[in-house]
Amino acid sequence: MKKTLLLSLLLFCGWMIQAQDFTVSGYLKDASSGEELLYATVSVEGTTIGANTNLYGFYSLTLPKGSHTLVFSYIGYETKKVSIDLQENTDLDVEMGTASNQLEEVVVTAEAEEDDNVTNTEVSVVTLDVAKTAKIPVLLGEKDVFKTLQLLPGVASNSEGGSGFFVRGGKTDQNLVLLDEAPVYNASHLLGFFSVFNSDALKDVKLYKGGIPAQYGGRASSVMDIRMKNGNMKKWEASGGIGLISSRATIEGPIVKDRGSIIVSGRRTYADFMARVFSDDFDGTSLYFYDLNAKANYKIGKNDRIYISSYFGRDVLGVEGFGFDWGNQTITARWNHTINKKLFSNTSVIYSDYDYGFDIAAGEIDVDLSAGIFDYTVKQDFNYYPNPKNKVSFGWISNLHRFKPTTFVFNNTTSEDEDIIFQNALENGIYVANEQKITNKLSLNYGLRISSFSNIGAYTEKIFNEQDEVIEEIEHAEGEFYNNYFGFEPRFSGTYLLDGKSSVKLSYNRNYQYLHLLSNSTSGTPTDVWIPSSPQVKPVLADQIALGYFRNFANNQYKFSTEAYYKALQNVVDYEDGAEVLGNPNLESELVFGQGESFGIELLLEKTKGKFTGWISYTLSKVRNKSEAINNGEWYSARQDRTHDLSIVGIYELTPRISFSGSWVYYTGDAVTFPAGKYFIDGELVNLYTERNADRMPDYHRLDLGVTWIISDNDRFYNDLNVSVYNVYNRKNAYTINFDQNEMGETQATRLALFGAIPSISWNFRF
Amino acid sequence: MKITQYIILAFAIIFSLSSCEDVIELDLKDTDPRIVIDASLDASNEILTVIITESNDFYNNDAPVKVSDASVTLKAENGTDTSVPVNADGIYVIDNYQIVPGDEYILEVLIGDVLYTASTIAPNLVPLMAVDTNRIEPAFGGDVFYQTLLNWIDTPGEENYYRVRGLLNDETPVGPYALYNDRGLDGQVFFRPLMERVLLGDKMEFQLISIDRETHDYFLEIAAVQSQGFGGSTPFNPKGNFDNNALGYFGIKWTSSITIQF
Repeated sequence: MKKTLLLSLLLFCGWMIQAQDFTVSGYLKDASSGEELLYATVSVEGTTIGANTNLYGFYSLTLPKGSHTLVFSYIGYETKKVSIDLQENTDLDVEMGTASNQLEEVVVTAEAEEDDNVTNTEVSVVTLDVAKTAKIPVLLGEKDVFKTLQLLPGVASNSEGGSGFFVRGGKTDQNLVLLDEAPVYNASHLLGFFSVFNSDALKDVKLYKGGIPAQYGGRASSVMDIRMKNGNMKKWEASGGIGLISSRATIEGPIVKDRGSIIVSGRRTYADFMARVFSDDFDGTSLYFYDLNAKANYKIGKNDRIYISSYFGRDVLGVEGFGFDWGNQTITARWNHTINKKLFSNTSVIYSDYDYGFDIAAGEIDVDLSAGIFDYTVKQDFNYYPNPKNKVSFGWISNLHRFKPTTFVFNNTTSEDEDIIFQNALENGIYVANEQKITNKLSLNYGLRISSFSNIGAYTEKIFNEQDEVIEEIEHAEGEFYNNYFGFEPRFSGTYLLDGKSSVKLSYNRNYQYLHLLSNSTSGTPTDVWIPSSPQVKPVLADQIALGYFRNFANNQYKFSTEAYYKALQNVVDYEDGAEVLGNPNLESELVFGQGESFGIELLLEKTKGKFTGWISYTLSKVRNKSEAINNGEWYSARQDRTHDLSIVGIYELTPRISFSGSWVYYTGDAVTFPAGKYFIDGELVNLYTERNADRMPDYHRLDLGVTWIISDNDRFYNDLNVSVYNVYNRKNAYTINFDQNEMGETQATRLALFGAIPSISWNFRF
Repeated sequence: MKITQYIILAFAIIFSLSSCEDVIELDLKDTDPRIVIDASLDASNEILTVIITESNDFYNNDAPVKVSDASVTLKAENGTDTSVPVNADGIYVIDNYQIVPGDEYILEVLIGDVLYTASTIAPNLVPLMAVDTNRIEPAFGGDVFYQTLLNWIDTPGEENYYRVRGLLNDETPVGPYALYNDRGLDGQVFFRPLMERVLLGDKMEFQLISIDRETHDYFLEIAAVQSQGFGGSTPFNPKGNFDNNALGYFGIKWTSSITIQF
């Protein structure tokens, strides 16, 4: 089946190749650092023919024999024109310089690149300029790509100051977060206030809210593809920053000039030291996280290149004998191989783990609780460029998941490693997709992904009755594939150009999700548990359709887009009321299943040129769930149902050295359940509830302001100072509302506002 | 989750010194009063206490209205039916009532023409064996305090459910809902901490309460719903063993205790 499909697609594209054509291919790079430029535009002057560089900066264009002028363009870079006389297949690596004048940073972009948002087939996609995020004020001055994404339509923060996010109403576990292709299972530090991604080490961030290409799979709502920098190929460079609660340092340089480079980037917080200075109460408290990103790459000959990248991060939180400890670790080894001018191959071997737990030490007693997920992945991707009208992607992925169940270790004695029974599962995917230019006005991207998921023994499967008691145990032998799921996931997106400056786009995607994060809290805590699909737990199935209108005007000074979407979810997993979570060996008995839907309209108006830049983003949406076990089987609002979500972001460059920035956000409070009444049992107050999530937290709004002063900027030394204030007008946004009794025995609602107005300062450098 | 709560708070306080807690007025929905039955058979003291009330609106701070015109009957597996009379305080009480562990007991409450019924199996008494104490002298000053650990031996071959709590200086119950069971731990020696600190000079009565499954499951739900906010569960109404939509529960307990003067 899959072979036939693949073959017919290849034949179809091959049929379109002309005999007198030759291929020009190569890499597009930054002239000063040698970093590849991803998703950059390559067009042929005087035609509508063009291509984009791929995830590794590679492009390939097949053109008729003869003379052509290629135009290379990328945001923030001087457009470069190269004339070629194409008499044979040609290699052409191109280096581009950044715009020389800071003020005109975004002005120099070529038309083709500027219109890319209108003309490409991508629907519901956000590409983030990592450098730009540095200027937007954030909590405690820790620049964070996740928090910038939350200011865009369809992306909502999970909590005050939190880095977790909901995409079009999907829960946080429905986001696939990839760092250099490795899945990152918990992308937040310090219970969610910071993301694990150190911006200094990142090159490119792309978020697919819908229209997810066939190469990605495994999550229901979104894909966030984050690529780390490769390291400077030309010269050694150091950069970093010192902030109120953390410091960062990055060192990068060539192993062999223009052949290989290395980058190492680290970050550590020192909040615990600071705390001890402020107060004696925090003696014995540990409260920090650290990250380390490292990557090396080397070109072996003309057609091969090897990359090894790694991330290691850990959180340690402890208070007098109680402690949390969790972290992610990823290692990716990749081999890029140009098979011929039209066929590019990438092979990846990936390891990723996430482990979490806590520790209670009381005198001679020491109880450790830990759990984790370990992933071993092999992946093969091909890009085939038969002609300028078609770009075919195909490949496969195989991922072995090993789940370590919650394990107690008592005084370092019980539960030796050999006693722990891992749950094993194999997740596979194959895909093929084609990006095709049908006419000058119509472009399509269509593809199919077929996924499979198998539970593998040895494992004891348990069947439960309604009282959550085990009524049957089924033993599965080691290596036995005792449960299999298959998923057909069609993907489609299309763009129709109305004129040169506007287009309509349509997308549809179906995604299966085989892993589930069980969480009974609002903030991501280490007690959240990842579990695989199983005979009892069916995979989540998501279908999404989106329709968009894109328009640029005033010489591309303004860009406007609007999208309407509808997403339907099946087999959504949640804990039942009063579930026993911690260390429960029969967790599956505590689950309920239901369906969900979300729909909405997103609006985005951006100003991309001039001294004043910024955007206004607005989302009107509805997210609701239905489950027989909850709310008498009626639809109810999901917690993350936010009717209105508005963000206004502005950056004003007063001089090339000084810029001001501000952002204002407003959203409808989360849907929550407040008590309607109360009663007493055993002398204790118990609140009485009526309908699930029928109340609202107070509306949220907040203004942040910042100023960045570039103290010096020359070839030898760059440094800037960033001062910002979070929540300028000190709005008391409710993080939680608790319902309890005061000393007089009267019941009351107590609001906890986590962050008032918080100033921060950070100093950044590069030399 | 107390620990999470503490850490988030500590974090917020350290970093911002700006977090704040205040009482706010919310426009909450009103609800029709519901019947609440709080019924506990104290096997050690041979007393059955049944408190029947109506639920209040959240902001109504009047004492809950007692239902004193109910007809309450305790039925034992051996066929004896005992009528439970109401006392002057509007509480239904019988004393000198001895239970047989392993037998089923049914409590019937008739209010108007609605009959509420709950049943449970009487548990066995498991005695508290010892309390280990560990004196802690904080390295950087502060009061000396004690960590404590209750020990008992689970009765093998049967399901056992426990609740652990402390009565500090004869009054305040400490750590109200520390619940344990012997699933996967049948017949083993249990060591469980009383989470609260005990200071020098305190008198603490450590109680190991052997409870029935109904009480265990009900209080587990109460604990889950009370730890709202950080790491808490989605709010819901705990389901006890009464039918006909009554709130509350009917349970049987044995108490075994050790008192220590620190």
